[in-house]
Amino acid sequence: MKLAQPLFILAICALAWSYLAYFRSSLLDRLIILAVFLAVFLAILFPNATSVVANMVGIGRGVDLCLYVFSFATLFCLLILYSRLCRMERIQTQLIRHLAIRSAEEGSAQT
Amino acid sequence: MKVPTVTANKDDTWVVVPCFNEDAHEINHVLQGLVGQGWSVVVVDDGSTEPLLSAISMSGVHVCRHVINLGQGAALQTGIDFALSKGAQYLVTFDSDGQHSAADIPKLLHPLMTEDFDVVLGSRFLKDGQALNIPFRKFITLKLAVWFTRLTTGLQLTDTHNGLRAMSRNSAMRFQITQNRMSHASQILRYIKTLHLKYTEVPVTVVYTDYSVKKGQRISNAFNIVWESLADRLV
Repeated sequence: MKLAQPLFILAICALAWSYLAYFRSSLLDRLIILAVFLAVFLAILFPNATSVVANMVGIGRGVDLCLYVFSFATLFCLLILYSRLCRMERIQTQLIRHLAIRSAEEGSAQT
Repeated sequence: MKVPTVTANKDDTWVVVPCFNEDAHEINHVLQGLVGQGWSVVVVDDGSTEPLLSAISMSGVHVCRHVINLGQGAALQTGIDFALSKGAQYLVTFDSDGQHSAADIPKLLHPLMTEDFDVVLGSRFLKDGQALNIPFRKFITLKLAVWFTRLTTGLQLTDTHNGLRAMSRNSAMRFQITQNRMSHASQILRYIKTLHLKYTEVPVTVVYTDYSVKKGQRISNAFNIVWESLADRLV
């Protein structure tokens, strides 16, 4: 406990700072992410509090609750990233198609 | 089999040939067959390492080049868009590896022009169709694909992954292939289903040569196609 807490707190502060400093997103997104950071921050400071919340929703241990939340959050992020990737691919295809059609050439008889 | 005569203006009928790293000799042979019959031809060079244009030794063939490789589905859609922009009334998709026979094109166009069909699919497995020298594993995979398609779309087809097909301008304008890679064949079938396009199959000949088998997709890719088809419906 003595080493883990300050290390995790440092790490979470660094993450929060770099997010705010380097990523521009909508106000709502920022509020959601800051809320998540805050929750993680509190969970590190008061580990026993997670068990209280876990018990309230019918899960045995706080660690289990964290694991479930983390798993779902990760899956959710994957889905979002995948749909973004698909969108980028669509845009890239449109761009390359546009170029291809605009610069279409006719083969010429050689020899 | 009697080959019906096609009376349409051949300038209005565009053959779309997607290509990727095709052998110069092979592709010229394929294009000669098409140009020789008088069709308008657009080749889509899907980001070949060596630009295809310099390898094509005949006039009258239009070449669109993707600056990077996107996949056969994307190449087909580019060719279709180009042909539509040139006023194509009928469109034919045709593989670049020499598997298809230009002599089958009139057979495909006939139902479009005389019977008001929207899409005509070539089938190597219909009576009178031929799959010459087909490798056994390929045969099994294609039969499984037919079964899978019947199960998922309910379309009663005999050949679901044949690159030789024809469609009218109206139907081509109603759909957009977004499956850039190999799942476009299944996607076209899904469009036929969802847009209620009037379709039919005609027998065609597909010839497997060492070259076409080498160029063709690996059978293991069938798993990717199934996956992409499922993902397409979810996302």
